[in-house]
Amino acid sequence: MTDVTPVDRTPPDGLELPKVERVLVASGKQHDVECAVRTDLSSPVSTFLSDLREGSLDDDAPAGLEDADEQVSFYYWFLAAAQHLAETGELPDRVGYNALRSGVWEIKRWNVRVTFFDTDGSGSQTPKKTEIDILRKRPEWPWFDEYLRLTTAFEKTSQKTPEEQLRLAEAVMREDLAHDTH
Amino acid sequence: MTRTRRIALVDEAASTDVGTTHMAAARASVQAISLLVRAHEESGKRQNEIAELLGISEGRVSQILNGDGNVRIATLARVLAATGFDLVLGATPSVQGVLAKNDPGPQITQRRGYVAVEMAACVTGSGVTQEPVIHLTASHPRDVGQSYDVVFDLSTGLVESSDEANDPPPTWQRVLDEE
Repeated sequence: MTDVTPVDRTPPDGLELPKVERVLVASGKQHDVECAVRTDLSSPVSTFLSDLREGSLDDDAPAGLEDADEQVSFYYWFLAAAQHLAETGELPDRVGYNALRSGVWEIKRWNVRVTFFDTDGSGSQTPKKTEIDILRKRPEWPWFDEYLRLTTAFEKTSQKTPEEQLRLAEAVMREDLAHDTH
Repeated sequence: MTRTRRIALVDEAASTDVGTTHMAAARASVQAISLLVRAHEESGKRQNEIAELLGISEGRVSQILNGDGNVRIATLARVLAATGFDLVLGATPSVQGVLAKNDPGPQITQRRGYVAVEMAACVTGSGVTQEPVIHLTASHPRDVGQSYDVVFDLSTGLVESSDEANDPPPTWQRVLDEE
């Protein structure tokens, strides 16, 4: 899953960031769902998806995804869910989600969390305000901007999302958005 | 920022036989859940009522309705029936199906034929008007002695007017432009 070892990836002043091509997961009428890219051009979710597709998630695979076949099934389920999201603007029924902070949201399936943010592609991000669905104890799904960028993937093993995962998702978001301003 | 033309992972998956079958299974499980959820909502029944109808525990009903959609066909049909719906299964040819990829012959999605439009005089309560009459033909209408004002070739997408000096009727031209 995503490595949370803190590394300063701020580019030196004056360094031109190369143009990036993000892995496109699904494209539809409402959104392009893409994998966010860091300053060093790594893409945590792209790597995660590749590992799933090959059934080669390492020893710390989330519970329920220890088996290679399960990983492959999860991969294709994620593609189908992303396609539904791209086409309709909403997640499929019964797929969990939550708002984390700073404009970062998460998609939930079993113990796996895939974080994302939305952007109009201009290099900026505006956290979406939304009402709380009291019955389901979560925010209403907002109307997101055109591009949904997948930032990190991790296994949730505690009730609260670990702070280092939140910081990492925010860092990936900042670094990815910087590519759009160059 | 305009959307770039990249190949999505979804489309990559659909371009291989293995990926096609996996995606089909994934889509089916997503659709199955949606079907169950919507049927349940539409029925207005509580989970314990469905459980009683099916002779299973309420916990099991919750598992099915909140699960990942990987239920047996029989289970899907039973739960839907308990919510007042009949399951109807069907299949449609996939656009880039396995057969099309392996078939060295013509693509099964190739279109042939002609759509001929002839403006014909029509007597109505308001008087005599010109109304379009549309013919679908396998051969060019000229070859079978069929009169026409405009003919659209389905295989090439070209439009031909019987009188090259006249433009096609405005409404017909707008439809073609929107295509």
